[in-house]
Amino acid sequence: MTEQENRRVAVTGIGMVTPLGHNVATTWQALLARKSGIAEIASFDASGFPARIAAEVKNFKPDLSLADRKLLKYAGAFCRFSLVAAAEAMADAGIQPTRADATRWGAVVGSGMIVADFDYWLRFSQRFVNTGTVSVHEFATEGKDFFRVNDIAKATANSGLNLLLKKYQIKGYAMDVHTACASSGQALGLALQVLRRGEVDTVLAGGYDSMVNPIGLSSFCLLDALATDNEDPARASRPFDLSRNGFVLGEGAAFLVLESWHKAKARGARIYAELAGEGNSLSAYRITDSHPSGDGAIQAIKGALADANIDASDVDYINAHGTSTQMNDLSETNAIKAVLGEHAKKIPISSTKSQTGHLIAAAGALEATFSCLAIHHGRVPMTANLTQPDPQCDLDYVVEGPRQQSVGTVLSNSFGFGGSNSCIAFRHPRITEELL
Amino acid sequence: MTTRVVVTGYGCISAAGENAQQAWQMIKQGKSAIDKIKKWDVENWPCQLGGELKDFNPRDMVLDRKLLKLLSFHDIVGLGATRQAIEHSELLTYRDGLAEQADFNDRVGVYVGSPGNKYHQQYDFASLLAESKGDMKYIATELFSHVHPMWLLRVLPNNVLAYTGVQYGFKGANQNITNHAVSGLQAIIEAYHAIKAGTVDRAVVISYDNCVEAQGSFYYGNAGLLSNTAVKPFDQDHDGTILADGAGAILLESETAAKERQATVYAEILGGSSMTEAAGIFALHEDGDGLNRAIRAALHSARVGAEDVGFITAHGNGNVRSDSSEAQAIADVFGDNTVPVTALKWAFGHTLIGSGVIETIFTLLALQDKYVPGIATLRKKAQSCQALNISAEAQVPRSQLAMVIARGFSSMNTCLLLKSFS
Repeated sequence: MTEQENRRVAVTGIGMVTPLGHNVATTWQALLARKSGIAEIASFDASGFPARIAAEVKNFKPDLSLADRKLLKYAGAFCRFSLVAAAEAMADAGIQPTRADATRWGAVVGSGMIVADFDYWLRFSQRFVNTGTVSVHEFATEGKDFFRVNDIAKATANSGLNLLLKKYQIKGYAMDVHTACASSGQALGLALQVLRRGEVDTVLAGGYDSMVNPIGLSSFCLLDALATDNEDPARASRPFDLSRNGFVLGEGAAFLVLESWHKAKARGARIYAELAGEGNSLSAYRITDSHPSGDGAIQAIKGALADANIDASDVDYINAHGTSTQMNDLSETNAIKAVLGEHAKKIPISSTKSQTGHLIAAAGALEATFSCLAIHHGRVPMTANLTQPDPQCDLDYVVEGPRQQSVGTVLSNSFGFGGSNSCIAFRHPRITEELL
Repeated sequence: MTTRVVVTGYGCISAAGENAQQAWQMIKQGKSAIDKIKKWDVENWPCQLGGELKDFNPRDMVLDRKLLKLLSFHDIVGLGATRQAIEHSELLTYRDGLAEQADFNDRVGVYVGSPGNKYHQQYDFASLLAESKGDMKYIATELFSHVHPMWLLRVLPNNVLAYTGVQYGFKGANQNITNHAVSGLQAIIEAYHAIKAGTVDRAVVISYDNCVEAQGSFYYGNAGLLSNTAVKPFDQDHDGTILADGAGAILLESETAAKERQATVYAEILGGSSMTEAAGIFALHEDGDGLNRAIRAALHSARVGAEDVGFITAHGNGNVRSDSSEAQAIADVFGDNTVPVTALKWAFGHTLIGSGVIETIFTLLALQDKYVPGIATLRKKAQSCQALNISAEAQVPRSQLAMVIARGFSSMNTCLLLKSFS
């Protein structure tokens, strides 16, 4: 095996639980059938909030084993998505850690941020709030019966990671990151680095999140960041449209099994794509907004092209961050133009958030899987709901519907609150083979 | 030629002192800064001790008054340590003299170990939730009069990362690691690799936490993790850890970048390794399996042998099972009673996510002074820790290479190697 082969990374398994479906096949089919995952919030009564819609995972009643149910007691509610999505990715890859190779497996995850569930906070507040404030001194003296050991587990930031480590007995490198909406994009980038370094041979990488709960919804309503098209949920997420007015909260999980190229080839694995490169930068501008010029995102996209050794003219598709907020979509458009120059106008660009909503910490991983599927199936997803073009957003956003075309190289963007930016590059395995 | 990665600045805020040197003197004198918790009334609490900051001067930590109002305590402390490290490195003086600063900024990374969300950050919602009795319509209507509109931005787990970017203009590669008590060491290791790979020339690495917090203390106490006497790493009377507040920050640079600006170099980072045991969120293997593998992998990747290590700053959190499994792992790799081992949490408590960078800074100072501080609370080695070469008195390092160990929930184990720079 050559050193070059050794350093390349193959995507050999994909799994997801999304607002469009509980697995890859249903989600992908619904995405291409132009379906929307956005509807009135069903998991709680949101009728009094300014935004009453979200992209929820619907009718999710997975058939979990007793062991899985036990594990879930020690992790936040959104980890049920991660358990199912990771299981699909593992089954899809056709491998799992064994006693012999468990220490050569890693896990890198981008996890959601509110780790204590809403039910907990309700229970807590009703117990410990006296005359408007929390009586902290009462915890130890009168709170003995309130203590449950699994509550501390649920409130630990890496409890979702623990769930996956324990279930699959992954015993090598393990990492949990959170940079808001860039979380799982950055997690994939980190997984790529760890595989290149040879610390492990296989990584379960991805993200999971749900802020579709009363506190999560409240926090974005307070910031006035959400689309409020409550009467027309399917049209609420309108990335790059002139009338775009905010994003739509989504939830779910997506995982990829990443393997060193030579290992994947040696076992005859089906390879969706090569995870070819990553760019990672900080906007250092404002907490909620990206710079209108695209600064910050520009460095991430440039970084991914350089890292993957891709020319601007090679890019066949960009899965945009495209949140449907005024500033992101303008800034991202300008960043794409700045980096890809004259090619920018020729590249199909779409925001699948128009149909899936914004999965926050899980968005990067979900959109990375869509990028792999675009390569694998030769289909480019569309940007739904773009009916009124914004003169400042003047690229090819694939508005007419999904396209059938050969897709060789894809970029997937994720930009987060706090200014972290991630761009991930994928390449068709055929092209990688030619490069070897 | 392989890139060397060096430390050119550091800053630390802990119970033991408002800067690294102050705390280091306390540690050398064997003085513990752990005291009765003052933040809330702990009368009748089973565990009443904590490592609180003695002086908290937020205005020295974050100069922007408007920003200060938007930040939580731990963000302020994290940014305070960052400010110290950047000032110590004199990096901005160098940047200000450059004609082209944009390229410079694009090549400064920021790697952070973050606690994620803290319980008390949710208290802004507490009265609303209590009054609502679970009525969602009530929450929706009363929300805007109860909760600050910027609440979400106050509680972002990546605030220290974000504002390090905003305040100093750094725009390079970054990660915000939320992996419990190994986060700080993992941040150093990832920054090391980013510099080695040429992705950035420099990186600020920060880890911080606010563990002296009532709700977290209540849970850790009830889970049997806390001592109400002292942190006694590897001692026969070890009976738990003591939570603390604090932050550490260091500046890493490639050797070339440091030379370019004639920076003072304090140490060289040799990388490290992380291994999990997949044992569970609070569980660990009695034989120290994951730590054993992490130590071996760290030595292997740095191409050094166990005999080359001059001393170890152990995790030594004072918990019986953690201490004894750590002792086993160290003894298995290094042999019995050989390499000097110390642990620092007796002095300022366990800062959880903060500990990685904080304890790396004191390890660096120990290398510099050729002085391995004693474990001041050590009376008699625990039976399970007999194999460790530990002492209440200071020891002399066997070489200029040191190892730092951190362990965390989800059975995480991380090891870092650093050495004096020559």
